[in-house]
Amino acid sequence: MILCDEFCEKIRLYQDAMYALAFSILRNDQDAADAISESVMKAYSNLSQLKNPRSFRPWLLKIVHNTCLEILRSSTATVSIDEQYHLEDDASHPDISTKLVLRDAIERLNQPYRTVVYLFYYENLSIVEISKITGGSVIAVKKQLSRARSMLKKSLNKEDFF
Amino acid sequence: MNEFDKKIRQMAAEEKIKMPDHVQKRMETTLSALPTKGSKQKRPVLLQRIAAAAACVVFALIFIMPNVSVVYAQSVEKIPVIGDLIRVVTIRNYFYADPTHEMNINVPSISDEDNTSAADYINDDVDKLTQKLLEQFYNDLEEFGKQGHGSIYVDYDVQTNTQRWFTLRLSIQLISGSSNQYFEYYHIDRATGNIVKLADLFNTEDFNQTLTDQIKVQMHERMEKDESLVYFADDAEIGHDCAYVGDEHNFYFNENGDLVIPFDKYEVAPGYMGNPEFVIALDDIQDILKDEFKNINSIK
Repeated sequence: MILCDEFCEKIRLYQDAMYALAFSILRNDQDAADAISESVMKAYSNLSQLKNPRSFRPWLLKIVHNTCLEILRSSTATVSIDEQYHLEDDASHPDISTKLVLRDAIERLNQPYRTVVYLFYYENLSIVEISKITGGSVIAVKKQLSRARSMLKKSLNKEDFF
Repeated sequence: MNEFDKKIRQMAAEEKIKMPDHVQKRMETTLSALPTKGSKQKRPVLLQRIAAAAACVVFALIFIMPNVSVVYAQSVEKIPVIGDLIRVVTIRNYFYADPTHEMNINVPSISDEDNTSAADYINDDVDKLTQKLLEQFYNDLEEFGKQGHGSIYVDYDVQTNTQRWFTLRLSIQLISGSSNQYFEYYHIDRATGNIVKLADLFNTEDFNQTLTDQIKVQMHERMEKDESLVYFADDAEIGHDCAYVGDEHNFYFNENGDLVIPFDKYEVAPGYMGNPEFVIALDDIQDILKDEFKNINSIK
């Protein structure tokens, strides 16, 4: 059983991961803060559902992910989440000739690529773990990651990068 | 893992994403509000039964008291605020408080001798809405007990009460980690005795697009004037149609008699922007207003 103090410590341990995931979906600090607060409350209320304490991080990130989608849904009554998750047209980006850091390059991706890239590269999660967090199939996450790689390669200046 | 992935993960390790201080402060506030006990445990059956019985008693007291207590009924009768044309009183108040939950719901009741059906419609709708909120509150209370956390506040105000027009605004605030407030507006055209929805004001089905276009223009103007303001006007990420104004979208007439289109939190802007509102001057939409509403700005 995880006690309140222990729960708070774990939340602080993963606060950066929660923030980065929430920001990758919501793209502004205020909504990310709303989502994190809401997620912390939900996680605490549902601690008894966490069977394996070692799974705390993916379990928590799944709650954050779902809470962010709820916030997005409440702001997009006429557009489904699926419709928002589309491949960005490469032509819509200006030509990137200057050196970009990774975070800038990721910021240029659309959803779901930002979230998948963030979870894979920053959180070092496996494709299976990512699929559990985002609710997508393993095959879908693989494809998303593959497309995201292609887009990242285009965005990052190859000469500086390799 | 290929070279590309290794390189990206190395870059990610060097470019750690940190939670900003103001977000962390908000998170710490949430953590400090958590109940101090351990995780929610399955309660013994006997305790569950006692808890259920106690909840029933509390529930019965809160629900029945306004109807059986003369003193209580008289006290709420004293609350009427509001104009001399349509009478509005707080017919019930539901209140609950413990260290982690609070509920304070004021239920209005309107009486209009000239338009009983319209008044009944509003009273029924308000009653259904408040009963739903009560049910949700008590369900959460029963399910999560002290491990849960949340508050519900419902109140009302009369925005217009004239011989021609009546508007009641219901304010609903839900707090659970984050706070969300939204409004429900009810209008009676006293000339006809009818409940009026937004679409009833217009002589064309294209009014939605006209209003939506004007709102988007105002969004862009505001963002150009003040860089701290953000609206999801034509934001491909959020969706081009989030500012779309539907047939039954909330509206009211402001002190100048102009049409105001309010939006809920998160609906057309980030949460920090609150509940945005857009004023549409009646002069700008004269050609699509029905004749009986062309001079509606005299209602004030």
